[in-house]
Amino acid sequence: MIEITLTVNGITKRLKVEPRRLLADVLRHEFGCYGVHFGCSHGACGCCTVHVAGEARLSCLAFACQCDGMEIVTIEGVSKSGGLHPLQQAFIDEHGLQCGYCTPGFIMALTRFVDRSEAPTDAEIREAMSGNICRCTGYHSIVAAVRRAIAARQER
Amino acid sequence: MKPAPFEYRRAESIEHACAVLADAGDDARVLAGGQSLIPMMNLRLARPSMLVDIGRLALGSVSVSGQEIRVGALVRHRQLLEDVALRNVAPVFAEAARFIAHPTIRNFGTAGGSVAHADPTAEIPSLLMLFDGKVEAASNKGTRTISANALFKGAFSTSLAPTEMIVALRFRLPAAAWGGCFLELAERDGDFAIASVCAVVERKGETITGARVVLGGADSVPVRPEIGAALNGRVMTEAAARDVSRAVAEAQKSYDDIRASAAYRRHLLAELVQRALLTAYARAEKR
Repeated sequence: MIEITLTVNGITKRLKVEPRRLLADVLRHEFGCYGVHFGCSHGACGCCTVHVAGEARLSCLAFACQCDGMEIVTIEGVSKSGGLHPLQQAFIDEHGLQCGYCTPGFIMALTRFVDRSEAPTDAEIREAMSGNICRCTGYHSIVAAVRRAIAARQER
Repeated sequence: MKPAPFEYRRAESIEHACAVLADAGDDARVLAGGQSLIPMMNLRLARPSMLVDIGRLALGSVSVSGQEIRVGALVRHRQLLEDVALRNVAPVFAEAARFIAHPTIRNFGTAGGSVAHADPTAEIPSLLMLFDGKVEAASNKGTRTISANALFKGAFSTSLAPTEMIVALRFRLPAAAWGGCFLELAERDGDFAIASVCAVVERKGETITGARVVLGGADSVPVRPEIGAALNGRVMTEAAARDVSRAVAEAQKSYDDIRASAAYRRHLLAELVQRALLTAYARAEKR
């Protein structure tokens, strides 16, 4: 067991963890962030994407002990306003989810792209979301949601 | 899925990492970005007794000096896409990085990790072969330089000792006007490649003065067949590129696996070599 400190969605905890515990596992069980979804556990599906030190990262491909001292944001903390993040709202408006299991991963993987893109092509949007799998296969609506979120950001 | 238990050490310096590795025995592994090692551990294809985490060492910069590019072991794939100095001297690095997995994995996967992992169709090992590359490897006995030729021993196998860690990769750019090209085919965007090809063509006016290709998917390591003799002194035409590409592809044994047959891989290699040579030649003109 080793002792680490993690700050998750603004809450800091000191924890004793086994080195083999994946970040996703610790976020779910020690911080109650059940929006962090395990899909494949080997980096193929993107469901467990969170932000570590400001960058999108697969929390199944990180050990919690690697992230000692770092700030982590999960889907539960992605909105700074207390309401919905603009990309979450865009997913609702464009019907960007069916069962919703993949949705937190898509949102966390795409926030940087939404923040930085101006007029992306469909191919660029699809490339940005290529690491995330939706087994309901609702990809067209997700592309539309990304486009809508970028437009909403530009209007603000 | 959970990995088997292991001990964890966070390296505070290169010397510290080397000292820990020297004491740890053959089952210890270096952890950099973890984007290949951790999935293997989750699937229990790898069960290291110890991980030496080098992730916080200052090995994450790219430097360009004359014809040499030095890429720190911890340079992330995304940096290869975004580094302006690198893009100016060798845009083929960004072209290759675009094929590496997906954006989220490119945020943390590292250049040194990719080389140490030695997947037979990985992009950075191919670039290392293409640009007469070398790795700087450190251990408690000091630092040695290993040429790419001598590094890749087989699929997921290198000549690095268990006590060694990669510190940096060095690439040598051609001195003459040159163009590069990286092409690859996978079942889906970002998947492991079925076949990949990278090429460099040097030219003076219309005349080819040097040409090289590296093939991924031809063998268990990246392969660099000799093609200079067939092209030097000539003008690149579609027919010339086709003749060379067919000869190169037919000489490869290649292999069957779940993704493709050896025959299909040879077919792809021929097509990709032809396209890469023509594109690299055209790009050389603009430089």
